[in-house]
Amino acid sequence: MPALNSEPMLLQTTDLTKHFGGLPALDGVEFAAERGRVTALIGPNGAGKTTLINCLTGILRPDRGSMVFDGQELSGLPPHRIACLGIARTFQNLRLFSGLSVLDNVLCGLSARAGDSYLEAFIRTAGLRHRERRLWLTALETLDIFGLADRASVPADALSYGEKKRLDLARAFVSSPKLVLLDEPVAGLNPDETERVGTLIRQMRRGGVTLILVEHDMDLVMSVSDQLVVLDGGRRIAVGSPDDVRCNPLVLEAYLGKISATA
Amino acid sequence: MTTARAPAFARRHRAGLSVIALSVLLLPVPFIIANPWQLGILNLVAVNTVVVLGLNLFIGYAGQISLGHAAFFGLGAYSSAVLTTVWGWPPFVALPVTATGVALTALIVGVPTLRLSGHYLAMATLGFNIVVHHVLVHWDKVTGGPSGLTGIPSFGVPGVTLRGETQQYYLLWAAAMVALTLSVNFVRSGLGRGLAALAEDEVAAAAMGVDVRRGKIAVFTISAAFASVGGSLFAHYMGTITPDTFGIFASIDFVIMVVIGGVGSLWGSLAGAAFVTILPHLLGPLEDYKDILHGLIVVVVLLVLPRGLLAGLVDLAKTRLAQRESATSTRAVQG
Repeated sequence: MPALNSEPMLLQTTDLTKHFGGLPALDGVEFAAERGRVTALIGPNGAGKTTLINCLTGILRPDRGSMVFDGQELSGLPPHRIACLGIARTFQNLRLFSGLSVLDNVLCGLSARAGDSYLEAFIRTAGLRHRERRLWLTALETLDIFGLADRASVPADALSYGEKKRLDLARAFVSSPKLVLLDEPVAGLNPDETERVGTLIRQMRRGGVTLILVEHDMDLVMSVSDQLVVLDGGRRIAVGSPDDVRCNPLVLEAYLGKISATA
Repeated sequence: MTTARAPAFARRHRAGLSVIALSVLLLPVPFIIANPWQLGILNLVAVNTVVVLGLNLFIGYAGQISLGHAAFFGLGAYSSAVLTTVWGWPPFVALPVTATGVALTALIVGVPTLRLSGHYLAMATLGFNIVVHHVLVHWDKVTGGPSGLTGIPSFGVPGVTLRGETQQYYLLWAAAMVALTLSVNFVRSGLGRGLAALAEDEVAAAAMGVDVRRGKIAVFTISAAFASVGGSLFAHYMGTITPDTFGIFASIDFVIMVVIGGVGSLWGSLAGAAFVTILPHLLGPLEDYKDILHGLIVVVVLLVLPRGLLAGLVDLAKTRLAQRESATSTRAVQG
């Protein structure tokens, strides 16, 4: 993987803390995503994975700590500004634009790149038509990669669940972002569809994009990730390669409960 | 142009060609409908179309609600009237200046109110309309109070002033066609898609880089400018305006036009404006029951054709056609 920037970490959070009421959802979390790698974020339900994602995308504002992305502090930026810096995401519960066509959904993923002025939009200048055509081609290419080219004109609502999951991915990857946050991309998919998404994730990684993967499907996590970060109760309890984490007693305890010496 | 490329050309410029086709259809209408009273109603359809197109951008594409667009319509009409009668400005200068002023007003109103959504936004915009209406009625010195303003000049250049319903018809429908073209262009741009996205899901739209707050305020301002242009056209066409035209019921009528035409269907806006404007005149002696009928029609349209009259009927026709085709093919197989 070519390291173009001297800084190996594309994203680095330090001491990230977020409380809901009195309860800590994130408690001093240190988290890093290496350029061009897949970093998986795992942990039992309620561990703080979604809160971390929501902080990184600007939906929630952390109480304390910093999040540096490519040399830029993210804390305090609104979601659309963060998106324009090159961070895309998928949604656990999809959040597709269900009334729009599949193609338009993907084109919406290019909103940040469209960059039209209102005047241009109203009179539809030649420049805008030219840009639209390029965006349109990019969108169609991406749909092709994600196996949805023949569904381009149907409403997103009419897709099967598996296709919807892939559309959510296509919408995130279409803008060639630097970092993509995948929030449970295979939740609810059957093994074949899961394998298909796994292949797509590996394909995207080879393309050089940095990925953060939140997922409960451990087979997928172990097969695509370079690095694992384990959260429990809002704290980072382990970090390392898939093999390291698999054998880590703290992780086993978090997932299986404390294995007391009953024998 | 080779024959092979012709369909591609037609597809790419479908919207533009449709507007041209509609304009060609509208051209001979004053020669067919010679009755100036009937032509006058069509002229009001054109005025309402301009307002409804703008409102549909806000309601149909950005997914918001405004029960206060008659206020912007009224501000446009009164500003244009005052600028031309008191200050002696020519109408074609008063119109853009007024639209700019009304857009700024909408910006000032929109920044705080568009933090709201749904019922709360409806109430806030309704409140704004009541305030504006109140000012129009009670600020006698400028607005002429309940009896309004008269003697508002028609559009024209020095020496030539538009006269008669036919000449007004061409001006007003030209304006409506321009408004239609601008709106159709806008919704097909990246910004238009951003609006459609935020109407569906604000969180997801923001995650794609759409500035949700700015987008809402921008489209509110733009739709107010459309309403203002409609108001100016109305004032210079009618020559007389009274505050009653710009009350909250007018706002509700505009929303009804959007809904009947089809929320998010710009071509439907045209149908909605025509339907709601013409209907009371067709009712004749039943005109007193206009409001009740409007209400009933909206309920029926929402229940039976939720996508609006135009889109709904097209859908219905498509379904029927598909059913008939499948029926014939089944018969063919059986035969």
